[in-house]
Amino acid sequence: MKKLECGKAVSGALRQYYRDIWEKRPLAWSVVSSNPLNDICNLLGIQVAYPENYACVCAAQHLSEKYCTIAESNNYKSDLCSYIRNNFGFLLDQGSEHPLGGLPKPDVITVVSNACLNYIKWFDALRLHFDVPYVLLNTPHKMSQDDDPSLYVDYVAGEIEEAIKELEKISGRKVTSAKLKETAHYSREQGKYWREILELNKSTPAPLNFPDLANLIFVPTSLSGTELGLSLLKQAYEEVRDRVKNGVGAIDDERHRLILLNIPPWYRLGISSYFAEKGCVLPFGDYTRYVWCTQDIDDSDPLEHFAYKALGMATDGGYGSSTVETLYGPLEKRIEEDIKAYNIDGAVVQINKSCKIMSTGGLDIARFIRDKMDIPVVVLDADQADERFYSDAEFKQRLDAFFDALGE
Amino acid sequence: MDSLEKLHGIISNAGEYITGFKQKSGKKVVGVMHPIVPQELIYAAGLYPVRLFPMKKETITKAHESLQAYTSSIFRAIWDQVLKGGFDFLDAVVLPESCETVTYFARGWQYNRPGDKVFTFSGVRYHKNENGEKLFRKQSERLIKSLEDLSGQKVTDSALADAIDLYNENRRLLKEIFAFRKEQPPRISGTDFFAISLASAFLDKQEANAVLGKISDELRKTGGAGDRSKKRILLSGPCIVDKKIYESIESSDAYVVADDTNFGLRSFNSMVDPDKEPIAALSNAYADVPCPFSTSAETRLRVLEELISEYNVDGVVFAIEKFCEAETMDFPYLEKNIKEKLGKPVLLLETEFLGDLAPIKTRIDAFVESIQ
Repeated sequence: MKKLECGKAVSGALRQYYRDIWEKRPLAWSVVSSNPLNDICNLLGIQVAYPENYACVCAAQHLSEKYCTIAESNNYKSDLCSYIRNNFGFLLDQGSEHPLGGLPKPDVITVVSNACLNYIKWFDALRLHFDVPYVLLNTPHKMSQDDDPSLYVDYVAGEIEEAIKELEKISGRKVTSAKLKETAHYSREQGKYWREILELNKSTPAPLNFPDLANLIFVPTSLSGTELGLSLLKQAYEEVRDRVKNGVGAIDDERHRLILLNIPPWYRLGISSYFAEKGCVLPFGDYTRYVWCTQDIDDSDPLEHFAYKALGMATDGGYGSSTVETLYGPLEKRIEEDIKAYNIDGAVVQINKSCKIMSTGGLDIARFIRDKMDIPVVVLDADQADERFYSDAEFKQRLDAFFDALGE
Repeated sequence: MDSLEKLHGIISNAGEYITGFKQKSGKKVVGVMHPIVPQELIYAAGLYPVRLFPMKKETITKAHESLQAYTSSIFRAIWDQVLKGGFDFLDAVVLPESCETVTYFARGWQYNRPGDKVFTFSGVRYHKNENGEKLFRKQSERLIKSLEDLSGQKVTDSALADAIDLYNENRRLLKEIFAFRKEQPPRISGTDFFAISLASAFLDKQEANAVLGKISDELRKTGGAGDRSKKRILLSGPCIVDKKIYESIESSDAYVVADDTNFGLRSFNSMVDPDKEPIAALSNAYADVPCPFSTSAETRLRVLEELISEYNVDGVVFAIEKFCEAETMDFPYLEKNIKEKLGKPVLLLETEFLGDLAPIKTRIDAFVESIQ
């Protein structure tokens, strides 16, 4: 598989980001998801650390067995999301070496409820663990077709204003309207380039495979609303555009194009090589295309921009985030359109015990793809960050049968 | 007590009662998940609100087509019984943004049964400020419109005021009966109180209040009878719908003297201020429902601390349904504080719809015996 040149710049930014969270203060612990509090923290010079990203790092370094076991022995039961268990395992494992040196103690906990409901409880528990201020941005979920974002935008904008006041106190700085406007602009532009990259991936051969996209998503989420984030995405976009122009694919011999639904098992990202050996590329999935609400949101009123971003619901015929909109109705339509546009000929639907929001309804979606789209579907069971119950042999056995169904 | 025996019978045949009352009253039935939906709005629209719970003790078979085994078994059982026709008496349901399974499956219900009337109530979990009250108002207005369309009856100010009074009276009576357990021995067992609170969740509120009034009067006249040396247990958990948990504790050397559950305290703890503008009053009251998905573990600890102190509790049993993440997430903090700050022993039980209670019973016996 071919790596992106700009990957070096992204890795450099990631290393700098981890240096910054150790060297600069104040520090927030926050949620990655389409979260305007991160844009505002970045604006105010508050460093942001992401326990969920860190849980992925721990899982990728095969530490989930250790951390989940520690968390479970402290009553964070195995039913809970493995990000939470990795996180509390790390926190409760005092005196050990941790990947990247661990995460420094926060000065504030911030959370947005658009990610999933567990996150609110997780970050509430972190607040109580660290005894630091807590900023919660509550955003309603779309539970029915008539839940229009315009119903909620005033409420969420009001909540953001309150959050800004709290964050200003913590940083000792003020959010000026010029700065807020600039940040909203970066946020909107980052969304634009992310969408452009995903559009380019409709090309055959696909210029990017799933792991490329999973690495790149660090930029519009963790560097949200920053000039640096925008410049990295521009670089990535230009490189991907050149790949398309020159017919360069992410894998050598692309014979099948698959959709991947759900969060991948971070401890076994290398499984994409197994797909690649069989000529299968994964040009998009809900995790890279639907979760982050990178739809185009007008930024002329920055507060409103951030309110719509936080809501994550579809606006003006666009697509919101599947975590907020849940998995039904619009998602079917969207999957149907995307399966056609990306020329997809097989679907990998993962059921992931840790992520209820991305798994509830997954079986209905699998049935929809198989019956209505008439393409082979494989349903796999794998947790996102708890490696203990994963079996490579079982995974491959099911995949082999799926590859047979796909044909040559 | 005849009234109590009657209620024990009714909770075993909830569907029969609901169908009977529907026929008798001519009212349409609206099923409600969780204690955070303002049922007063439904009642004021001339409808008959009932809380949803698995009304039959049937093995879950059909729900697995669309709900994984690692979602709430109580909700899976409800969905299973919906699919099998067990809830055919329902004319609509109200699903709030609440626990993970209900929130994420609200769309699943609409998707799988497009003919059903599914009303939702989003985003009002953390509305404890002025801005939140505006959201609650907006959501209430939307719900009222759907309810009016369903019943063909307007929600007038006076109907809403009457509904608030009726529901407050129900809460007052439940609180009064709940408090009869302060004494040692308590005047009413936990098992009996469970039957009362579960029945109140689906009985027509006027009928419920009449029965509760009678029970309260009788309890006021009689002193508690029983062993004074038995241990006093606080039971905390989400949707406890099986009285066997109570029976298991009370057949040990213990009384369940207080319970913090979705069908118990959380459903009647918050009174609605009748002197305030109705929607603002409802917003205030429902903001205080101490459900884990709508409040911090810190707030829940305060509620539990008060119960432990007021009801002279010897030990706390958490009966947490498997895959109820919000409860599970709060548990480590609550356990630590109850043990360390209050010096009370804590037992965690993992429950599941129709789960085997034999191993649980053994653990309860050992726990009760270990309490000093």
